[in-house]
Amino acid sequence: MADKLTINVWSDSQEERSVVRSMLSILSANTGDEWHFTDSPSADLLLLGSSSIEPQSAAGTAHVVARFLNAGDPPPGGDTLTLTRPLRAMPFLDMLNEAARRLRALPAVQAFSPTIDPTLLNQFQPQLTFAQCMRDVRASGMLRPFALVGADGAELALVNLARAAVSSISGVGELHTQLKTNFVRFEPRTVRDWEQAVVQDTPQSLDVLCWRTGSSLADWNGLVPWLSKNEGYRMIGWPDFGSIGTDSVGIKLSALLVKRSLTPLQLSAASTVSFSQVVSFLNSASLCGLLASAPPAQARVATRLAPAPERLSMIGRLRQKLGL
Amino acid sequence: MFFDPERDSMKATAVGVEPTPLAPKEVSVRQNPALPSFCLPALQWFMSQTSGVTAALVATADGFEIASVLHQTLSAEKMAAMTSSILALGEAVLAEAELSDCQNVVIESRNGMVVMLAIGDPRNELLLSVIADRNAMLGQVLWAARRCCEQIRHSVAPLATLN
Amino acid sequence: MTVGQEYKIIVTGTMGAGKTTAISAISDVTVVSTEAANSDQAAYAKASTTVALDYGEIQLDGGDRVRLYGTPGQQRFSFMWGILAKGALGLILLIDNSSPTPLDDLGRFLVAFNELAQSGAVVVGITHRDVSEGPTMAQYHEVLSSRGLGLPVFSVDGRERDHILLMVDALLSSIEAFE
Repeated sequence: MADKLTINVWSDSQEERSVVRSMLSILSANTGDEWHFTDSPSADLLLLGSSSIEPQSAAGTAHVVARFLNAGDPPPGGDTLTLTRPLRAMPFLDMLNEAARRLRALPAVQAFSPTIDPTLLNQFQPQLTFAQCMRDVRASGMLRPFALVGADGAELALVNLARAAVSSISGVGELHTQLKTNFVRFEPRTVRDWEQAVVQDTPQSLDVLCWRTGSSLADWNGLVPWLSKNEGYRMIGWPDFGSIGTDSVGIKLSALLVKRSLTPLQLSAASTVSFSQVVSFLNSASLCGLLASAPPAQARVATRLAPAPERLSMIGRLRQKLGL
Repeated sequence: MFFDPERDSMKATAVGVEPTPLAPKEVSVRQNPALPSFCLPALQWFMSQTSGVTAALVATADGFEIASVLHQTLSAEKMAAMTSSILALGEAVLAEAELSDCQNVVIESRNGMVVMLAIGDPRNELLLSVIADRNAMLGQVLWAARRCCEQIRHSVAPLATLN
Repeated sequence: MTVGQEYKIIVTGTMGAGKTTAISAISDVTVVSTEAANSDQAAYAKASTTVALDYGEIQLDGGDRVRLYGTPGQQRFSFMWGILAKGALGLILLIDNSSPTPLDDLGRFLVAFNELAQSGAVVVGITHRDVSEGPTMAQYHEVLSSRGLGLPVFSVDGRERDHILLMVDALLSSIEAFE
């Protein structure tokens, strides 16, 4: 079946971009796929003029990269696709087909279905299965967009993991509510699908959805099943509280857990934050893909090691003044 | 030699360069290729007039170098930025003291001095920075530097009216 | 009473990211600024730019204060960075996501303020962030983790006082948690 694929060209020459564009519209029918031109840096195929450094916003989100070379240039090495100037139809066609082949070979573009335990039907099951699927998807390294599809086949939202963004008709708040009652499947989609979706439904932060879901699940049953209160965890990055919303407890816990690994109980002791709040935080952090297992530090654990007392006291007064 | 605006103004034709008409608003002052040539003669005159002066530089208010005469061990780019910072701080200090219109800042040391002045051209807000060794006398440097500023203001005026 | 140690927080980052605004949002005094006319409006649409520093204060009881210093953003004023950052409690680093090279910008500032970064006393705010364009948060995280730095990175609106307070909160928590 023909794939809908997207291509973007980064070149210093406007003319070169136009030439590629018109050649694409002619040749696309000769490939097995439907190729579309895009201005987005997250295209399936990114074609770079040889003088351009890989654009910062594309690195990691374009899936296949090809380079223009001038005659006589040394090849870039590795298995980067190349196109030699002047642009000719046959080499361009070959390059498109090879790019499509590589895209199809990318790992784990598959559907994820929730495993539903019929004996455990309660209001949190749908959210739990969503959380489990998120975890699996993150672990698979699948970067391409996917859709959240309800039991009735309705597409509730489109997710772009690379950009940590979700696009849905009624917004993340409503989506969070829908996930409480809808078992969803994760189905692969293309970059093109994502681009078309975001024209209508402005993308929002995926972290917000994950954070709230983690919190709901904590209310129900404490730690999500893949986290244990006896294991040590560490944070591999801070949650984006700018998007999620200010969370003083979350900030306090992140500051501790980013520097050392602790079990949930140790974290509660070290921070003097209640265990239930720690559980909520760990669930949310895990759903955002920010938590990693790590053996907990041995000694010097439960007590907070502090900088000079005068400094701490000043910090305390500053907090009081600012209401933090 | 006293500077006489009538006699000594650097007219574009004398230097062999036609004044470049300014393009529409988008072309910044800094990018006008004629500007350095309007300033350099003034700097060179100043340096030849004043004993002890070892370097002179014209910068924009936001710290870009326009024209300079200095030894290659010194960085014109850095001096231009520092001149901008110092004069802006001078203005802030004056505001705090309920005074206004910073004219110059003098930094004296055991073995020389740096004098930074606002050239006072209304459009471009250019700055002059002067480095002098221990042979220089502050009064003389200030006097000649002020003449240099006047000269630059005159030279640059035709550019400003086209803006 | 011990002879006071000066406590200061520095705000730095790319031109146009919102440094001066951020300080105004939390300063108890009118911010002293040192702006000059921007001579390069073709490159940056701003009418003026900070050329020396911004100065603000948060006043505490007993006459103590936390001084706030904003630095100029452009590389040519980098000599000011060391002067202003000396002895600082912490740093708020604002990166304009819509600039051409925000990831490089982040890297440059992390190098310039290396000591503060290594001691975990830096919080990064990404301004003008639109989820559909520019680098992803994952890419900003990558810049940090490739340098072994676990610093907070948040999408912020530089004009929102709550976002500035969020960054200060994270900064203070990071300093408190450091060992």
